Formats: sequence, C-alpha cells, structure tokens
Amino acid sequence: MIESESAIFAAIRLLISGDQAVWSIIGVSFAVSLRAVLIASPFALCIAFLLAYKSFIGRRFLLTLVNTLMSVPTVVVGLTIYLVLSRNGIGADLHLLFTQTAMIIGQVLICTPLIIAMAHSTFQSGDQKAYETAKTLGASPLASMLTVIKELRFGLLAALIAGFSRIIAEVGCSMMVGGNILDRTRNIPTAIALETSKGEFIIGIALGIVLVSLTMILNVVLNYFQGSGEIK
Amino acid sequence: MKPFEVSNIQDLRLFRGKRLVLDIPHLAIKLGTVTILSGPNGSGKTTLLKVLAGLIKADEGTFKSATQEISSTTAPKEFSGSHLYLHQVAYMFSGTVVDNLAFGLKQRKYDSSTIKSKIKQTLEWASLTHLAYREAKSLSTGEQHQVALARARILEPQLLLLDETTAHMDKSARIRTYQLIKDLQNDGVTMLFATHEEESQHELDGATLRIANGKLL
Repeated sequence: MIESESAIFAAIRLLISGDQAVWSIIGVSFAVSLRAVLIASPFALCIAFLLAYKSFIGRRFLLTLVNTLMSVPTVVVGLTIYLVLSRNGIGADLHLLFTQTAMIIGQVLICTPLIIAMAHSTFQSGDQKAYETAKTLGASPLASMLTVIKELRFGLLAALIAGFSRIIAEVGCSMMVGGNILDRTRNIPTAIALETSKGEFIIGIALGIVLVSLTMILNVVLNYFQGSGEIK
Repeated sequence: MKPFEVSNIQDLRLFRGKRLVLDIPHLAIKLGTVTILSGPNGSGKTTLLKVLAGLIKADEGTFKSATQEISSTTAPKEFSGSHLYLHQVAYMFSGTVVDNLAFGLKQRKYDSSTIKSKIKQTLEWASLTHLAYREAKSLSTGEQHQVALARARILEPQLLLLDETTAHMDKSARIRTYQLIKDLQNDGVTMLFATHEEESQHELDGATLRIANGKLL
C-alpha cells in the first residue's frame, strides 16, 4: 500500500510533467461534460420557466417526473442508452455506442432534471414583477423570459454549475456507453475507476486532484458572480 | 399601425376556478384624463388593471377603441407595450436608470441615437438626470416609482395603469410623484389610478369609479 502523501506529490508531478494520457483524459472530460451542459441548459431553462410561470394541464405531473428523474442512478441512464444504441436497439444504425456523442446524450439526460429542478426553484423564488414589467413594456414572451433569466442569472448559474458538477463526476453512464477507450471516451471518473482497479493509485489520485481542483475553480467562479449579485 | 387605444369595455368577466372575480358590464375610459379607481383591499382593482394591461387574460369581454373592437383573447397581445401597468412597488431591472429607460425602447427596436435622445429628454422631464447612472435597484422607493413613471412615459403609452403608486412613499416622494402624474395628465396621457386612499382622490383631478367584489358600483 502506498503512502497517500507521496502519492499526492507524485500526482502533482504527473500533472506538471504534461503526461499525454492524463491530459487526454482531462480533455475528454471537459469536452463531453461542457457540451452536455451547454446542450441541456437552454431546454432545461425553458421547461423550468414554463413550470414556474405558466399553468397548463400536466404541470404537476411534469414537476413530479422531473423530481423523480433527478434520483435515477446514472447506470440506469447508461443502461437505457446502451439498450437503445446497441446492436439490437432501435438506434443501432446510428453507430453511436462507445463514442463521445453517446456519453454526451447520457450526460444531457442526467443533468437536465437537476437543472430544471434547481432553475424552477430559482424562478419560483424570483420576483414575478420582473416578468410582468418586461411584458407591459412591450417585450415579446421570449424577450420577457430572457429578461427574467438575466434578472435571476446568479441563481440560474448555480443551477447550471450543479448540473455540470453532477455529470463531470459521474461514472456509471460514461463507463457503459463510452466504453472507457483511451483518447476517445476515457474521462476522469472512468479513468480513476480503471486505474484504481489496476492498482495505479498515483494516476487515480492525480485525476482525483484534477476533479477536486475543478470543483474548487467552479465554486470560486460562482462566488465571484454571486458576490456581485448580493441583495442591496 | 397605431396602438390600440381602449375607450370602452363591455361584458368583462374573469373567473378563478368557478368564482367570478371580475364582472364589469360596461366601463368607459375618458381619453386624456385621470380616472381614479377606488376600492378597499381585495376589491379587484389590481386584477382589473392587469386585465387592461394585458397581463391577465379575461375569460369574456370586448374592448373598443374609436375605430376598432377586439376580444379578450387578443387583448393581451394588443395591449403589451401600449397599456402600461405600474406595480404598487415598482420593479427595477438590474442596471442603471438609463438601462431601465432604454428597456422598452429596445423592444421597439429604436436606433441608439433615438434611444439616447429620448432618454435624455425623459430624464430632464422627470428631474432624474442626476440619477442617470445610478444602480436602479439601489434607489429609494419614491425614486424607483419616479423612474418607473419615466420608463412608462418614454414609450408614449395609450393608457397608463397606476396601482396604488403612492402607497409606500413618504410625504415628499408623494408630492413629487403626484406632480409627475399631473404632468403626464397635462401631456394628455390617459390614466387609471387605483387607490384606497382619499388623499389621491383630492390630489388628482379626475372622475372616480368605485369597485367592490370585482364589480363597479
């Protein structure tokens, strides 16, 4: 068993040395999760807005569904996509299994309910007058929605970061639909799982440090923006 | 096309579930004047103003201008941007006073030089030039209402719907706000001023309508 302290220093050295494999894994993680959150966000924000500002048949059911989907394990999402994209699935002809696109689809499905739920809560606690004021001043429904999003950007940013944090750290779905292929679909969590199973703790810890650092950077950014969004 | 200018409302009804919350068989709005809408809390003043602003869609009713007639279905779209509603506590968008004044003009796609000159003129009209680049949310309640009135005036509204505008102000802010409303009246802006205070009725020169339980008395 290695000593954790020396492993941490070795991990830092590994990161600084520019190890190609490690940086490829980090690159895949960012490329997949950032694209997933960017794809999910517009849709999730629109649904959250509709849930908060419009009354329609099935609204309550949709809210319950969103809250339920938040707690679906990532492996279940992975399994579902695997079944759809595998040789006997309805999406077999797309040849997406074990690609970054499949990982993105999975991560979009994982982070969307969380972003909807958090954004809905932000919209609900926001001031309804922002929407009405925008509308009465002649803004179209879309422009009014964008105005409310701008007004509540600090809370909504937290929702997007929470969504990103959930998918950057998930293993189950990425492993299942990505296949953990180096330089193509191996991301930080799947690499940590693999390296740990091989007994390569240093690479595992290095990647763990990257994940923790990433979370910290995200929180610093969030605090920076939220700091300027203080209640006056 | 000229914005729709409502002058006559007929058979206006609004239901919340099965409850009839607004039932107004006829309401004539005298153009270019202030009409005071008086009634106790919960009488339906805000609801009526929001219907007239197009923020709430009535279940039934027709709205007539001098030349046109529209139904309650199309009213919200027609009224947006021309029938302006001011909340009891004015909402300020994040940004400066200038940003707030520019909001409606940008929706109408005015060019930047027109926006600048209209803002300058409106700030002078409201004596708010000294606050032009202040964060709007940091202003006092009275100042925010004055910005809200200026933000409405800049759009040259057909109908201005003021919802207990002076309710949360100190005396000096009230005097200043009443003066702006009178200036708007002199400009020929049609206004409906909801209040439950007698002071407003004394301050503003206009006909008074009384409302209770969603019905005009």
